[in-house]
Amino acid sequence: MKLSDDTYERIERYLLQEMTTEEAAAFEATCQADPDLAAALAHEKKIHLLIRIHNQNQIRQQVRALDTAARQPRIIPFRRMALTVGSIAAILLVAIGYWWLGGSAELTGGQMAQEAEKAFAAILDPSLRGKLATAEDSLGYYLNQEAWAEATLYYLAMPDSLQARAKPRLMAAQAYYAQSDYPQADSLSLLAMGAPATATSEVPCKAKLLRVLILLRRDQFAEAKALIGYTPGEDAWKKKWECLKTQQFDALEKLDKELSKKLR
Amino acid sequence: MSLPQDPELVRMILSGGKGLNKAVALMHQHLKSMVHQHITHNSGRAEDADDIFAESMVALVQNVLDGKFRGESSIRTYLKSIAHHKWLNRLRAKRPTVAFEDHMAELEDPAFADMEDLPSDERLAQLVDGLMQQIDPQCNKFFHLRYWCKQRMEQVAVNMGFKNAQIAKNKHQKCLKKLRELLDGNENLKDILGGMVA
Repeated sequence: MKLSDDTYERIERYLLQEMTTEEAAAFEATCQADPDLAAALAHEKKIHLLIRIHNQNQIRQQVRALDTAARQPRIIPFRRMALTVGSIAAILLVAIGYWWLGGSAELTGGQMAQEAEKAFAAILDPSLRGKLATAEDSLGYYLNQEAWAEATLYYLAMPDSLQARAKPRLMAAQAYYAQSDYPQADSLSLLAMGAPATATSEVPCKAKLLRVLILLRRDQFAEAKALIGYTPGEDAWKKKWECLKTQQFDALEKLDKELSKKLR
Repeated sequence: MSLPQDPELVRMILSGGKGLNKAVALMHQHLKSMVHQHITHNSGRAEDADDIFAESMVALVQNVLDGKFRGESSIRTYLKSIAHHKWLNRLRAKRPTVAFEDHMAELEDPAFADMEDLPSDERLAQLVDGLMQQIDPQCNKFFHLRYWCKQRMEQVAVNMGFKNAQIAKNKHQKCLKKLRELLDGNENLKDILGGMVA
C-alpha cells in the first residue's frame, strides 16, 4: 500500500525524535493497530540505518586518508625553493648534468618531480603581496607559511562560490600536493586548468605545470609527456606555456626529452 | 591551526558537511598521537592504534550528533575513553580472561557499556557505499544533513541554498523515493539491514 508523503513525514519525525512524548506514544499506538504503517516504519528504519552506516563510512575513510597523508615523506616545499633567476639557472645545469650522468631511465617519477620542482619553484610560489584582505590572500598566507593542512582546511571552509574560483583551486591543489594527496591535487588542478586564461592570470598555465608534477609523482610518464605537449615548432609550443620564462622552457624541454627516453 | 575549544568543535560537528570535515581533520591532527600512545602502551600495535582511532572518531562524531556527548568531560578525555573502551572490547574478544592494569580499569566507564557498536565490516561498507553512490550527490547531502546531522528542514534549506523549507522538503521527498526504490531492489542489503534493525 502506497503511503502519503505526510505519513512518511510523521515516520521521519518519529525516527528523528522530533515528536513530543505524547505524540510519540500516540504514533506507536497507531503503528500497533496499523500493519501497513508498522511495515513502513520498519522499512524507514532500514533507510535511516543505511544513511547512518554510509556517513560513518565517510568519517572512517576521511580518517584513513589523513593517516595515509601523515605517513608520506614531506617533499621539499615550494616556498623554500623560491630562488633568484641566476640560482634557478645554476640548479637547472646541475639537474641536467645529474640526469645526464645518472641515466634518466634509472630515475623514478618522484625523483623527476623533485628535480622539476626546483626548476619551477618561482613559477608556483604564491608570494603574498599586500594585506590579508581577501580569502585568496589568506589562503596564500598559509601556503607561504608552509601550513599545508591549514591551507586545505581553509579552502574547504570557503563558500562554494569562492572554492569554484580558479586561483583558490590552484592554491588548494598546491597544498594537497605538498601533503602528497595527489588525487585531490589532481582533481583541483584539472579544474583550475579549465579556467579561461586572461592577460593578468596565468592560473591555467600554472595549474597545468602542477599537473605535470603530479603525473610524475604517480609514475604516469606518458600522460605527463602528453600534457607537456612539446612540439618542434617553438612558438606554437611556447604559446601553450605562457607562464614560463626562458630558462623554464629549457627545463620543460629537457623534461620532455627525459620522458621520451623513459618511455622507449 | 590549533584545536578549537570544545563548544566550537561541537558546533563544527553539528554543522555537518565542510565544518564536520574540518573538525575531523583538526582532531586527527591534535588527538591521534594521544590515542596512538594509549593503545601502543597497552599491548597494541600501530595498526591497532590506527583502527581504534578511526572507530573512536566515528563513535565520537556519532555521539555528538545523537546528543550523547553532554560536555561533562573534555572532547579529548571523551575520545580517549571511547578508544580505551573499544580497545578493551578488542582485547577481551581475543583473550576472554585478561588482567588489566589499575589505570585501565579506572577508565572503564559504565556510560560506554551500551555505546553503539555498528560493525565496521568492509563488505557491508562496500554494499552500502555502492548503493549510495547511485544517489545524486545533492540527495546524499540532504540525507547527511537531515538524517545524520539531524538538522531541521529549515536549517537544511538554508545550508543547501533553497529558497524555503517547503521547496527543500519536496526535493528531499523525491530523494527518499529514489533511495527506497534502490534499497527495495537490493534484497541482500535489505536483509542485512533488517537483521541489524530488529
